[in-house]
Amino acid sequence: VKALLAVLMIILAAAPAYSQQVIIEETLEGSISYQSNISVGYRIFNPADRGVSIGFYFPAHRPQEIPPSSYQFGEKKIYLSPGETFEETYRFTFPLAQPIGLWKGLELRYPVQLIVDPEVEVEFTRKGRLRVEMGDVRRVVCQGCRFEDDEVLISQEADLPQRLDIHIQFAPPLRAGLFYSIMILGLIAFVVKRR
Amino acid sequence: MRRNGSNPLKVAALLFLSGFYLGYTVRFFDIIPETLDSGYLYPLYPLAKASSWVLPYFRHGLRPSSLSALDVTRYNLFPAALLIATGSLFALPTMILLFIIGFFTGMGLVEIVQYAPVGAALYLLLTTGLFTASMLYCASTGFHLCSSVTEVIEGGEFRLSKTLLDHLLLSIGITLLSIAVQIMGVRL
Repeated sequence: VKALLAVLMIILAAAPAYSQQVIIEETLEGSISYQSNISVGYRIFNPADRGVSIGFYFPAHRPQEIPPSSYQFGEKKIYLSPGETFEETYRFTFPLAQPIGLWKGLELRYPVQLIVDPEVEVEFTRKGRLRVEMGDVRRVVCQGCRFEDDEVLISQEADLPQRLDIHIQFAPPLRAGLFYSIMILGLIAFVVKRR
Repeated sequence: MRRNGSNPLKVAALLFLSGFYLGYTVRFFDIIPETLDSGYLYPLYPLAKASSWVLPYFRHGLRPSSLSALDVTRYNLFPAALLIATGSLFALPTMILLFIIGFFTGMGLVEIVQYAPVGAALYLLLTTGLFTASMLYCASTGFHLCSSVTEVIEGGEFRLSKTLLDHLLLSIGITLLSIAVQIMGVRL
């Protein structure tokens, strides 16, 4: 019996530890303008010894004036068997989330979110480059991003797929400000002359 | 409206410029982050949009709709007619409308000044000047019309003063000139 138990212990110790992990690689390419065109490629690999399902969620906050044909909103679920790899590229056209202020700049909220079972361990990487096709951009703020030569270079690593928020800040509105100053000076000159 | 020493054109200018100043301030400081777009209150903003001179319009992902010469004519004639005709209602609606038109003009001009290419911005400033002159003379005509109506109510005879006729002719002339210059812009 002892020998049998010892053999069992050896077999258990030698057995691979149970792991439920998926590897998600997201690659973004495209351009950001007042309307953004982004293509996003996914490579999801399931190295675990049992299947896993992953949901793609595309939030449906589509403004009315956008033709529905230019969107691929909705939900999609994929099931990956052990050792299986999923590869697909999606193309999105969407407007920027916030109205444009002369000072505030604008916020781009990349609309895709991946939903993975919380028990599943995720190794998530996001990389890519997005060309900013707008004038007067002062800087771009984004977690894990760099802004160089009109391009947002993205390189993020995380445990869970995170939403990508890019805040684009414009240079101060100089021309409009100059015109405003002329108006104010004109007003002051008018008042002084009248007095 | 027309009383001894009063000058309707000055009153109109004061009302318009007050509205203009307020509209420009509100848009410049992002109190309202989007330009309220009504061609009937400031026809040059749709013109700038249609000519792709005001870039933020693309945020909605649509190409701006084209603007025809007929649209430009409608956008200019309607406020002009409104300002003159409402003069008969004791000029109060004329004053309010003129202030609102000034507000929209100021608001629309911010994006034009900021975003349009220099040549286009100068052209639009010139046309805005013409549009402003047209609106001021139309409002002044409305104010004179108000005086005539008031005189009739007070028991006098209905008379159209020479200034009213002069301003009416000027309104028509400047409005037509403004429309012509804007139609040139549509064809650019």
